[in-house]
Amino acid sequence: MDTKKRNITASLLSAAVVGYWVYGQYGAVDMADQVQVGQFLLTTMGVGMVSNIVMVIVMSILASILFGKGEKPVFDERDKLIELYVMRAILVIFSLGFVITLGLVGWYSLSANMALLVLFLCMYGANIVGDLVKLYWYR
Amino acid sequence: MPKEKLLINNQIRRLRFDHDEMTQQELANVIGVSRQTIVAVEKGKYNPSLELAFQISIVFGQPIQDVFSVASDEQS
Repeated sequence: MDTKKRNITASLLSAAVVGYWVYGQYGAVDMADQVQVGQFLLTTMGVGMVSNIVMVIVMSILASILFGKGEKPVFDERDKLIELYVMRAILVIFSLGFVITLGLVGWYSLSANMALLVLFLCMYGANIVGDLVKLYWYR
Repeated sequence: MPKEKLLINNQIRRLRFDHDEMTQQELANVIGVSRQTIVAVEKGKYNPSLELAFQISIVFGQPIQDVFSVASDEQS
């Protein structure tokens, strides 16, 4: 397993950990309270970063045990092209989410706190789609 | 100007074997790209930049048209 696939897997596993953590917090946060929502989002981002670092380390250890020393990672022109595809996919998903959120705020009187959460969810979903796009190109 | 999509064929696999059965990893190391990129180029899944195409042809000591050739959809 090469470094790129390993990092994508780590990122997807980290997203799963964040999803599980958010699911565990369901009901514990008062969505009407601005401070609580802010703290929740900031904590979730922290959990995401820490879990990503931990997953990269765990995957590196597992890969070296299972597959031995892998190839030396090289970042070349094809990787740059794939990064562009990924960025485009993320931008499309997030832009769509942004427009939907504005629509929900404008026509369904969605509160600012909930709009922030929907935007956060879009960002989370867009990152997962980006990882899947990357996995598709590196398959 | 023809509008049909051009298919770019390459002789990298044959040339590698002609050069003491050079592996994809060895070629990748010489050029400074990943082995996956060489695999993708060989299979025709990725068209390399002009710079990379020239680098490959220099490694094999061949003119670029002997490494890469163009065939239109109708010809293939």
